[in-house]
Amino acid sequence: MRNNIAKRAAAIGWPILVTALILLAWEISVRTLGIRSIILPPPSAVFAAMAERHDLLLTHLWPSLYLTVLGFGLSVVGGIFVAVLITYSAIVRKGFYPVIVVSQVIPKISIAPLFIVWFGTGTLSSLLLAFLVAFFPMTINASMGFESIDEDIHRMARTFMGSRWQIFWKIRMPNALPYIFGGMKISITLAIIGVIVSEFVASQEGIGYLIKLAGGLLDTPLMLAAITALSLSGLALYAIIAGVESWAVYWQPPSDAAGAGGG
Amino acid sequence: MMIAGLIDPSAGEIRIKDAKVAGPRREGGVVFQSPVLLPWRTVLQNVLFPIELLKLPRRQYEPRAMDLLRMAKIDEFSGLLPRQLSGGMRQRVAICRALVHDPSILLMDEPFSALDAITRDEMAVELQRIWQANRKTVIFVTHSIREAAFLSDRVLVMARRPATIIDELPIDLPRPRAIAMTEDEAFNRLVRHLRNAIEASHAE
Repeated sequence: MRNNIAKRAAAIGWPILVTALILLAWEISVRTLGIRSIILPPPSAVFAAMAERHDLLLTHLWPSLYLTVLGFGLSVVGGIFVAVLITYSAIVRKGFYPVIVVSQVIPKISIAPLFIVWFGTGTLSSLLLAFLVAFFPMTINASMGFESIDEDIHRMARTFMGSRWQIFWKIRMPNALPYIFGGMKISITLAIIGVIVSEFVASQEGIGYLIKLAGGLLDTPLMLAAITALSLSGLALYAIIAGVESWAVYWQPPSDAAGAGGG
Repeated sequence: MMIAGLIDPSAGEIRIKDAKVAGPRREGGVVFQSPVLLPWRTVLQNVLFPIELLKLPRRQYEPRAMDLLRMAKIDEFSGLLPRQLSGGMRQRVAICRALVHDPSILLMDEPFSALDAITRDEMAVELQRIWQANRKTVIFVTHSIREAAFLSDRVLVMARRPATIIDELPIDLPRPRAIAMTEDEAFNRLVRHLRNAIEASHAE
Protein backbone atom coordinates (compact mmCIF):
# COMPACT_ATOMS: atom_id res chain seq x y z
CA MET A 1 0.00 0.00 0.00
CA ARG A 2 2.66 2.48 1.07
CA ASN A 3 4.76 1.43 -1.89
CA ASN A 4 1.85 2.24 -4.23
CA ILE A 5 1.39 5.68 -2.78
CA ALA A 6 5.10 6.35 -3.16
CA LYS A 7 4.95 5.18 -6.78
CA ARG A 8 2.00 7.43 -7.58
CA ALA A 9 3.65 10.39 -5.90
CA ALA A 10 6.76 9.77 -8.00
CA ALA A 11 4.62 9.45 -11.14
CA ILE A 12 3.08 12.86 -10.50
CA GLY A 13 6.04 14.49 -8.78
CA TRP A 14 8.70 14.07 -11.47
CA PRO A 15 6.78 15.66 -14.36
CA ILE A 16 5.77 18.55 -12.09
CA LEU A 17 9.38 19.06 -11.09
CA VAL A 18 10.52 19.05 -14.73
CA THR A 19 7.78 21.54 -15.68
CA ALA A 20 8.79 23.83 -12.84
CA LEU A 21 12.44 23.67 -13.94
CA ILE A 22 11.53 24.51 -17.55
CA LEU A 23 9.45 27.49 -16.40
CA LEU A 24 12.29 28.65 -14.18
CA ALA A 25 14.85 28.38 -16.99
CA TRP A 26 12.48 30.29 -19.29
CA GLU A 27 11.99 33.07 -16.71
CA ILE A 28 15.73 33.41 -16.03
CA SER A 29 16.81 33.36 -19.69
CA VAL A 30 14.20 35.92 -20.77
CA ARG A 31 15.35 38.25 -17.98
CA THR A 32 19.10 37.83 -18.37
CA LEU A 33 19.03 37.94 -22.20
CA GLY A 34 16.72 40.95 -22.14
CA ILE A 35 14.22 39.45 -24.61
CA ARG A 36 11.38 41.86 -25.27
CA SER A 37 7.98 40.86 -23.91
CA ILE A 38 6.44 41.19 -27.37
CA ILE A 39 8.65 38.34 -28.62
CA LEU A 40 8.60 36.10 -25.55
CA PRO A 41 7.17 37.26 -22.24
CA PRO A 42 8.43 35.47 -19.11
CA PRO A 43 6.05 32.99 -17.43
CA SER A 44 5.43 35.49 -14.65
CA ALA A 45 4.02 37.97 -17.18
CA VAL A 46 1.82 35.26 -18.68
CA PHE A 47 0.42 34.35 -15.26
CA ALA A 48 -0.11 38.04 -14.49
CA ALA A 49 -2.04 38.42 -17.76
CA MET A 50 -4.15 35.39 -16.84
CA ALA A 51 -4.98 36.83 -13.44
CA GLU A 52 -5.70 40.36 -14.68
CA ARG A 53 -7.81 39.44 -17.66
CA HIS A 54 -9.55 36.33 -16.45
CA ASP A 55 -12.95 37.80 -17.31
CA LEU A 56 -11.95 38.22 -20.94
CA LEU A 57 -10.36 34.78 -21.05
CA LEU A 58 -13.38 33.05 -19.53
CA THR A 59 -15.77 34.90 -21.83
CA HIS A 60 -13.96 33.43 -24.81
CA LEU A 61 -13.04 30.09 -23.26
CA TRP A 62 -16.60 29.13 -22.42
CA PRO A 63 -18.09 29.04 -25.98
CA SER A 64 -15.03 27.15 -27.26
CA LEU A 65 -15.26 24.51 -24.54
CA TYR A 66 -19.00 24.23 -25.01
CA LEU A 67 -18.56 23.51 -28.73
CA THR A 68 -15.65 21.15 -28.04
CA VAL A 69 -17.66 19.04 -25.60
CA LEU A 70 -20.72 19.07 -27.85
CA GLY A 71 -18.73 18.11 -30.96
CA PHE A 72 -16.90 15.44 -28.97
CA GLY A 73 -20.19 14.05 -27.62
CA LEU A 74 -21.64 13.84 -31.12
CA SER A 75 -18.48 12.12 -32.37
CA VAL A 76 -18.70 9.52 -29.58
CA VAL A 77 -22.35 8.71 -30.31
CA GLY A 78 -21.83 8.84 -34.09
CA GLY A 79 -18.58 6.89 -33.96
CA ILE A 80 -20.06 4.08 -31.89
CA PHE A 81 -23.11 3.96 -34.14
CA VAL A 82 -21.02 3.69 -37.32
CA ALA A 83 -18.77 1.11 -35.60
CA VAL A 84 -21.85 -1.04 -34.92
CA LEU A 85 -22.78 -0.78 -38.61
CA ILE A 86 -19.23 -1.76 -39.58
CA THR A 87 -19.41 -4.76 -37.25
CA TYR A 88 -22.77 -6.07 -38.36
CA SER A 89 -23.16 -4.98 -41.99
CA ALA A 90 -20.95 -6.62 -44.59
CA ILE A 91 -21.77 -3.85 -47.07
CA VAL A 92 -20.61 -1.11 -44.72
CA ARG A 93 -17.53 -3.09 -43.68
CA LYS A 94 -16.40 -3.99 -47.19
CA GLY A 95 -17.59 -0.89 -49.02
CA PHE A 96 -17.49 2.09 -46.70
CA TYR A 97 -14.85 1.20 -44.15
CA PRO A 98 -11.90 1.27 -46.60
CA VAL A 99 -13.20 4.59 -47.98
CA ILE A 100 -13.39 5.99 -44.44
CA VAL A 101 -9.83 4.83 -43.72
CA VAL A 102 -8.39 6.16 -46.99
CA SER A 103 -10.22 9.48 -46.56
CA GLN A 104 -7.98 9.94 -43.51
CA VAL A 105 -5.23 11.25 -45.80
CA ILE A 106 -7.28 14.45 -46.21
CA PRO A 107 -6.02 16.87 -43.58
CA LYS A 108 -9.46 17.55 -42.18
CA ILE A 109 -8.72 21.01 -40.86
CA SER A 110 -8.01 22.11 -44.45
CA ILE A 111 -11.78 21.78 -44.93
CA ALA A 112 -12.42 24.55 -42.38
CA PRO A 113 -12.73 27.36 -44.98
CA LEU A 114 -15.17 25.21 -46.96
CA PHE A 115 -17.29 24.76 -43.84
CA ILE A 116 -17.34 28.54 -43.40
CA VAL A 117 -18.70 28.83 -46.95
CA TRP A 118 -21.33 26.18 -46.29
CA PHE A 119 -22.37 26.82 -42.72
CA GLY A 120 -21.40 30.45 -42.10
CA THR A 121 -19.03 32.02 -39.61
CA GLY A 122 -21.10 31.02 -36.58
CA THR A 123 -20.93 28.20 -34.12
CA LEU A 124 -22.28 25.59 -36.52
CA SER A 125 -19.04 25.54 -38.54
CA SER A 126 -16.94 25.11 -35.39
CA LEU A 127 -19.21 22.37 -34.07
CA LEU A 128 -19.16 20.43 -37.32
CA LEU A 129 -15.40 20.69 -37.72
CA ALA A 130 -14.90 19.47 -34.15
CA PHE A 131 -17.26 16.60 -34.86
CA LEU A 132 -15.51 15.74 -38.14
CA VAL A 133 -11.99 15.54 -36.74
CA ALA A 134 -13.07 13.70 -33.58
CA PHE A 135 -15.33 11.24 -35.36
CA PHE A 136 -12.76 9.00 -37.11
CA PRO A 137 -10.63 7.87 -34.18
CA MET A 138 -13.85 7.09 -32.32
CA THR A 139 -15.20 5.00 -35.19
CA ILE A 140 -11.98 3.11 -35.77
CA ASN A 141 -11.32 2.43 -32.10
CA ALA A 142 -14.89 1.37 -31.35
CA SER A 143 -15.04 -0.97 -34.34
CA MET A 144 -11.70 -2.48 -33.32
CA GLY A 145 -13.19 -3.06 -29.87
CA PHE A 146 -16.34 -4.71 -31.22
CA GLU A 147 -14.33 -6.94 -33.58
CA SER A 148 -11.55 -8.02 -31.22
CA ILE A 149 -13.61 -10.69 -29.49
CA ASP A 150 -11.73 -13.81 -28.55
CA GLU A 151 -13.06 -16.56 -30.85
CA ASP A 152 -13.39 -18.88 -27.84
CA ILE A 153 -15.58 -16.39 -25.97
CA HIS A 154 -17.82 -16.15 -29.00
CA ARG A 155 -18.01 -19.95 -29.17
CA MET A 156 -18.70 -20.22 -25.47
CA ALA A 157 -21.62 -17.77 -25.76
CA ARG A 158 -22.99 -19.71 -28.71
CA THR A 159 -22.92 -23.04 -26.87
CA PHE A 160 -25.15 -21.40 -24.26
CA MET A 161 -27.40 -20.26 -27.08
CA GLY A 162 -26.61 -16.58 -26.77
CA SER A 163 -28.45 -14.45 -29.33
CA ARG A 164 -26.71 -11.77 -31.42
CA TRP A 165 -28.35 -9.14 -29.26
CA GLN A 166 -27.08 -10.77 -26.05
CA ILE A 167 -23.61 -11.24 -27.53
CA PHE A 168 -23.51 -7.56 -28.46
CA TRP A 169 -24.60 -6.18 -25.09
CA LYS A 170 -22.99 -8.73 -22.79
CA ILE A 171 -19.75 -9.36 -24.69
CA ARG A 172 -18.95 -6.97 -27.54
CA MET A 173 -19.91 -3.79 -25.69
CA PRO A 174 -17.91 -4.42 -22.49
CA ASN A 175 -15.04 -5.77 -24.58
CA ALA A 176 -15.02 -2.56 -26.63
CA LEU A 177 -15.10 -0.22 -23.61
CA PRO A 178 -11.31 0.08 -23.19
CA TYR A 179 -11.00 0.80 -26.92
CA ILE A 180 -13.83 3.33 -26.79
CA PHE A 181 -12.13 5.20 -23.96
CA GLY A 182 -8.85 5.08 -25.89
CA GLY A 183 -10.68 6.67 -28.82
CA MET A 184 -12.30 9.27 -26.56
CA LYS A 185 -8.91 10.39 -25.27
CA ILE A 186 -7.73 10.99 -28.83
CA SER A 187 -11.02 12.55 -29.92
CA ILE A 188 -11.28 15.10 -27.14
CA THR A 189 -7.92 16.65 -28.03
CA LEU A 190 -8.81 16.61 -31.74
CA ALA A 191 -12.20 18.23 -31.04
CA ILE A 192 -10.39 21.13 -29.36
CA ILE A 193 -8.16 21.53 -32.41
CA GLY A 194 -11.21 21.50 -34.69
CA VAL A 195 -12.93 24.27 -32.75
CA ILE A 196 -9.80 26.44 -32.48
CA VAL A 197 -8.97 26.14 -36.19
CA SER A 198 -12.52 27.02 -37.13
CA GLU A 199 -12.32 30.08 -34.85
CA PHE A 200 -9.02 31.06 -36.44
CA VAL A 201 -10.59 31.02 -39.87
CA ALA A 202 -13.67 33.09 -39.09
CA SER A 203 -15.33 33.82 -35.80
CA GLN A 204 -16.20 36.71 -33.49
CA GLU A 205 -15.81 34.80 -30.28
CA GLY A 206 -14.01 31.88 -28.73
CA ILE A 207 -10.51 31.28 -27.47
CA GLY A 208 -9.19 30.75 -31.02
CA TYR A 209 -10.52 34.14 -31.99
CA LEU A 210 -8.91 35.67 -28.88
CA ILE A 211 -5.51 34.13 -29.72
CA LYS A 212 -5.69 35.53 -33.24
CA LEU A 213 -6.87 38.93 -31.96
CA ALA A 214 -4.04 39.11 -29.39
CA GLY A 215 -1.59 38.24 -32.16
CA GLY A 216 -2.93 41.09 -34.28
CA LEU A 217 -2.57 43.49 -31.34
CA LEU A 218 0.98 42.18 -30.66
CA ASP A 219 -0.23 41.41 -27.12
CA THR A 220 1.93 38.32 -26.68
CA PRO A 221 1.30 37.89 -22.91
CA LEU A 222 -2.45 37.74 -23.59
CA MET A 223 -1.88 35.28 -26.41
CA LEU A 224 0.18 32.98 -24.20
CA ALA A 225 -2.35 33.40 -21.39
CA ALA A 226 -5.10 32.26 -23.76
CA ILE A 227 -3.01 29.30 -24.95
CA THR A 228 -2.28 28.34 -21.33
CA ALA A 229 -5.95 28.56 -20.35
CA LEU A 230 -6.85 26.44 -23.38
CA SER A 231 -4.20 23.83 -22.59
CA LEU A 232 -5.31 23.58 -18.96
CA SER A 233 -8.92 23.12 -20.08
CA GLY A 234 -7.83 20.41 -22.50
CA LEU A 235 -5.92 18.70 -19.71
CA ALA A 236 -8.99 18.88 -17.46
CA LEU A 237 -11.25 17.35 -20.13
CA TYR A 238 -8.72 14.58 -20.70
CA ALA A 239 -8.47 13.95 -16.96
CA ILE A 240 -12.26 13.67 -16.68
CA ILE A 241 -12.31 11.00 -19.41
CA ALA A 242 -9.39 9.13 -17.82
CA GLY A 243 -11.20 9.26 -14.47
CA VAL A 244 -14.46 7.89 -15.90
CA GLU A 245 -12.41 5.24 -17.70
CA SER A 246 -10.76 3.91 -14.56
CA TRP A 247 -14.21 3.65 -13.00
CA ALA A 248 -15.92 2.05 -16.01
CA VAL A 249 -13.11 -0.29 -17.05
CA TYR A 250 -12.62 -1.54 -13.49
CA TRP A 251 -11.42 -4.98 -14.56
CA GLN A 252 -8.17 -3.76 -16.08
CA PRO A 253 -5.17 -3.07 -13.89
CA PRO A 254 -4.52 0.71 -13.88
CA SER A 255 -1.19 0.44 -15.70
CA ASP A 256 -2.88 -1.23 -18.67
CA ALA A 257 -5.92 0.99 -18.69
CA ALA A 258 -3.90 4.11 -19.42
CA GLY A 259 -2.63 2.95 -22.78
CA ALA A 260 -5.31 0.49 -23.87
CA GLY A 261 -6.85 0.84 -27.27
CA GLY A 262 -4.97 3.93 -28.26
CA GLY A 263 -4.44 4.28 -31.97
CA MET B 1 -17.35 -28.99 -31.23
CA MET B 2 -19.67 -31.03 -33.42
CA ILE B 3 -21.39 -32.61 -30.44
CA ALA B 4 -21.90 -29.13 -29.00
CA GLY B 5 -23.57 -28.13 -32.25
CA LEU B 6 -20.97 -25.49 -33.10
CA ILE B 7 -19.74 -27.25 -36.23
CA ASP B 8 -21.83 -29.33 -38.64
CA PRO B 9 -20.54 -32.86 -39.26
CA SER B 10 -18.99 -33.38 -42.70
CA ALA B 11 -20.95 -36.60 -43.07
CA GLY B 12 -23.52 -38.48 -41.05
CA GLU B 13 -25.35 -37.08 -38.06
CA ILE B 14 -25.04 -36.84 -34.30
CA ARG B 15 -27.92 -37.92 -32.11
CA ILE B 16 -28.35 -37.22 -28.42
CA LYS B 17 -31.20 -39.25 -26.89
CA ASP B 18 -32.46 -39.92 -30.41
CA ALA B 19 -32.68 -36.22 -31.27
CA LYS B 20 -30.46 -34.95 -34.06
CA VAL B 21 -27.96 -32.25 -33.09
CA ALA B 22 -28.56 -29.31 -35.41
CA GLY B 23 -27.15 -26.46 -33.33
CA PRO B 24 -26.23 -25.52 -29.77
CA ARG B 25 -28.70 -26.95 -27.31
CA ARG B 26 -29.69 -26.61 -23.67
CA GLU B 27 -28.59 -30.06 -22.57
CA GLY B 28 -24.93 -29.45 -23.27
CA GLY B 29 -22.35 -27.78 -21.06
CA VAL B 30 -18.98 -27.08 -22.65
CA VAL B 31 -15.53 -26.58 -21.11
CA PHE B 32 -12.87 -25.33 -23.51
CA GLN B 33 -9.07 -25.57 -23.46
CA SER B 34 -8.82 -22.12 -21.94
CA PRO B 35 -11.26 -20.96 -19.25
CA VAL B 36 -12.75 -18.21 -21.52
CA LEU B 37 -14.10 -16.23 -18.59
CA LEU B 38 -15.38 -12.71 -19.13
CA PRO B 39 -12.81 -10.45 -17.45
CA TRP B 40 -15.38 -7.83 -16.38
CA ARG B 41 -17.50 -10.33 -14.48
CA THR B 42 -16.85 -11.71 -11.03
CA VAL B 43 -16.51 -15.46 -10.53
CA LEU B 44 -20.16 -15.78 -9.52
CA GLN B 45 -21.35 -13.60 -12.43
CA ASN B 46 -19.30 -15.72 -14.82
CA VAL B 47 -20.84 -18.92 -13.50
CA LEU B 48 -24.32 -17.40 -13.90
CA PHE B 49 -23.60 -16.23 -17.46
CA PRO B 50 -25.34 -19.22 -19.15
CA ILE B 51 -28.39 -18.60 -16.95
CA GLU B 52 -28.60 -15.06 -18.31
CA LEU B 53 -28.15 -16.16 -21.90
CA LEU B 54 -30.75 -18.91 -21.52
CA LYS B 55 -33.08 -16.39 -19.81
CA LEU B 56 -33.58 -18.62 -16.77
CA PRO B 57 -34.55 -17.10 -13.39
CA ARG B 58 -31.29 -15.87 -11.90
CA ARG B 59 -32.54 -15.90 -8.33
CA GLN B 60 -33.40 -19.58 -8.55
CA TYR B 61 -29.97 -20.51 -9.93
CA GLU B 62 -27.80 -18.37 -7.69
CA PRO B 63 -27.81 -20.84 -4.76
CA ARG B 64 -26.99 -23.62 -7.22
CA ALA B 65 -24.08 -21.60 -8.58
CA MET B 66 -22.81 -21.09 -5.03
CA ASP B 67 -23.16 -24.83 -4.35
CA LEU B 68 -21.09 -25.61 -7.43
CA LEU B 69 -18.42 -23.11 -6.38
CA ARG B 70 -18.36 -24.66 -2.93
CA MET B 71 -17.99 -28.10 -4.48
CA ALA B 72 -15.10 -26.82 -6.59
CA LYS B 73 -13.65 -25.25 -3.40
CA ILE B 74 -13.63 -21.75 -4.80
CA ASP B 75 -16.75 -20.32 -3.15
CA GLU B 76 -14.70 -17.89 -1.06
CA PHE B 77 -13.52 -16.27 -4.32
CA SER B 78 -17.02 -15.76 -5.76
CA GLY B 79 -16.66 -11.97 -5.67
CA LEU B 80 -13.23 -11.79 -7.32
CA LEU B 81 -12.46 -11.02 -10.96
CA PRO B 82 -10.86 -13.71 -13.15
CA ARG B 83 -7.51 -11.94 -13.29
CA GLN B 84 -7.21 -12.34 -9.53
CA LEU B 85 -7.34 -16.14 -9.81
CA SER B 86 -4.74 -18.76 -10.75
CA GLY B 87 -5.05 -20.79 -13.95
CA GLY B 88 -6.36 -23.87 -12.14
CA MET B 89 -8.98 -21.85 -10.25
CA ARG B 90 -10.14 -20.19 -13.49
CA GLN B 91 -10.64 -23.57 -15.12
CA ARG B 92 -12.68 -24.67 -12.11
CA VAL B 93 -14.89 -21.61 -12.58
CA ALA B 94 -15.32 -22.66 -16.22
CA ILE B 95 -16.39 -26.16 -15.10
CA CYS B 96 -18.93 -24.66 -12.68
CA ARG B 97 -20.22 -22.47 -15.50
CA ALA B 98 -20.66 -25.51 -17.74
CA LEU B 99 -22.68 -27.25 -15.02
CA VAL B 100 -24.81 -24.37 -13.75
CA HIS B 101 -27.83 -24.89 -16.01
CA ASP B 102 -27.83 -28.58 -15.11
CA PRO B 103 -26.99 -29.99 -18.53
CA SER B 104 -27.27 -33.73 -19.08
CA ILE B 105 -23.98 -33.88 -20.98
CA LEU B 106 -20.71 -32.20 -20.11
CA LEU B 107 -18.38 -31.73 -23.08
CA MET B 108 -14.75 -31.12 -22.19
CA ASP B 109 -12.25 -30.30 -24.90
CA GLU B 110 -8.75 -30.74 -23.46
CA PRO B 111 -9.80 -28.70 -20.44
CA PHE B 112 -6.58 -29.19 -18.47
CA SER B 113 -4.07 -28.91 -21.32
CA ALA B 114 -2.98 -25.41 -20.34
CA LEU B 115 -2.20 -26.37 -16.74
CA ASP B 116 1.06 -27.55 -15.23
CA ALA B 117 1.48 -31.26 -14.47
CA ILE B 118 0.77 -31.06 -10.74
CA THR B 119 -2.30 -28.84 -11.11
CA ARG B 120 -3.44 -31.08 -13.93
CA ASP B 121 -3.43 -34.15 -11.67
CA GLU B 122 -5.21 -32.23 -8.93
CA MET B 123 -7.86 -31.06 -11.39
CA ALA B 124 -8.43 -34.63 -12.57
CA VAL B 125 -9.10 -35.70 -8.97
CA GLU B 126 -11.34 -32.65 -8.50
CA LEU B 127 -13.28 -33.40 -11.66
CA GLN B 128 -13.85 -36.97 -10.49
CA ARG B 129 -15.14 -35.63 -7.18
CA ILE B 130 -17.47 -33.14 -8.89
CA TRP B 131 -18.65 -35.87 -11.22
CA GLN B 132 -19.44 -38.19 -8.32
CA ALA B 133 -21.57 -35.56 -6.65
CA ASN B 134 -23.21 -34.53 -9.90
CA ARG B 135 -23.53 -37.51 -12.19
CA LYS B 136 -23.43 -36.46 -15.82
CA THR B 137 -22.35 -38.01 -19.04
CA VAL B 138 -18.94 -36.48 -19.59
CA ILE B 139 -17.25 -36.54 -22.97
CA PHE B 140 -13.65 -35.68 -22.29
CA VAL B 141 -11.16 -35.07 -25.09
CA THR B 142 -7.49 -35.29 -24.13
CA HIS B 143 -4.05 -35.94 -25.59
CA SER B 144 -2.86 -37.38 -22.29
CA ILE B 145 -3.17 -41.15 -22.17
CA ARG B 146 -2.78 -41.18 -18.40
CA GLU B 147 -5.50 -38.60 -18.01
CA ALA B 148 -7.84 -40.59 -20.25
CA ALA B 149 -7.21 -43.82 -18.35
CA PHE B 150 -7.47 -42.12 -14.97
CA LEU B 151 -10.80 -40.39 -15.56
CA SER B 152 -12.75 -42.62 -17.91
CA ASP B 153 -15.19 -45.47 -17.75
CA ARG B 154 -14.66 -45.96 -21.45
CA VAL B 155 -11.81 -44.70 -23.64
CA LEU B 156 -12.24 -44.24 -27.38
CA VAL B 157 -8.95 -43.93 -29.25
CA MET B 158 -9.03 -41.71 -32.30
CA ALA B 159 -6.60 -41.76 -35.20
CA ARG B 160 -5.77 -38.56 -36.99
CA ARG B 161 -6.46 -37.95 -40.68
CA PRO B 162 -9.03 -39.21 -41.11
CA ALA B 163 -10.19 -38.80 -37.51
CA THR B 164 -11.78 -42.17 -36.89
CA ILE B 165 -12.28 -44.24 -33.77
CA ILE B 166 -9.76 -47.08 -33.91
CA ASP B 167 -10.06 -48.63 -30.49
CA GLU B 168 -12.36 -48.81 -27.52
CA LEU B 169 -11.25 -49.77 -24.03
CA PRO B 170 -13.43 -50.04 -20.92
CA ILE B 171 -11.69 -48.93 -17.74
CA ASP B 172 -13.03 -50.91 -14.82
CA LEU B 173 -10.80 -49.54 -12.07
CA PRO B 174 -12.65 -48.87 -8.82
CA ARG B 175 -13.70 -45.32 -7.89
CA PRO B 176 -12.85 -43.00 -6.28
CA ARG B 177 -9.49 -43.23 -7.98
CA ALA B 178 -6.47 -41.56 -6.43
CA ILE B 179 -3.32 -40.29 -8.14
CA ALA B 180 -1.40 -43.04 -6.29
CA MET B 181 -3.35 -45.54 -8.38
CA THR B 182 -1.41 -44.44 -11.47
CA GLU B 183 1.56 -46.37 -10.06
CA ASP B 184 -0.40 -49.64 -10.07
CA GLU B 185 0.30 -52.40 -12.52
CA ALA B 186 -3.39 -52.67 -13.58
CA PHE B 187 -3.48 -48.98 -14.47
CA ASN B 188 -0.23 -49.09 -16.37
CA ARG B 189 -1.34 -52.14 -18.34
CA LEU B 190 -4.32 -50.11 -19.60
CA VAL B 191 -2.09 -47.15 -20.42
CA ARG B 192 0.28 -49.41 -22.35
CA HIS B 193 -2.61 -50.89 -24.29
CA LEU B 194 -3.83 -47.43 -25.29
CA ARG B 195 -0.35 -46.27 -26.20
CA ASN B 196 0.17 -49.28 -28.43
CA ALA B 197 -3.12 -48.65 -30.20
CA ILE B 198 -2.12 -45.05 -30.92
CA GLU B 199 1.40 -45.93 -32.02
CA ALA B 200 0.06 -48.60 -34.34
CA SER B 201 -2.19 -46.05 -35.99
CA HIS B 202 0.75 -43.65 -36.44
CA ALA B 203 2.91 -46.36 -37.99
CA GLU B 204 0.43 -46.97 -40.79
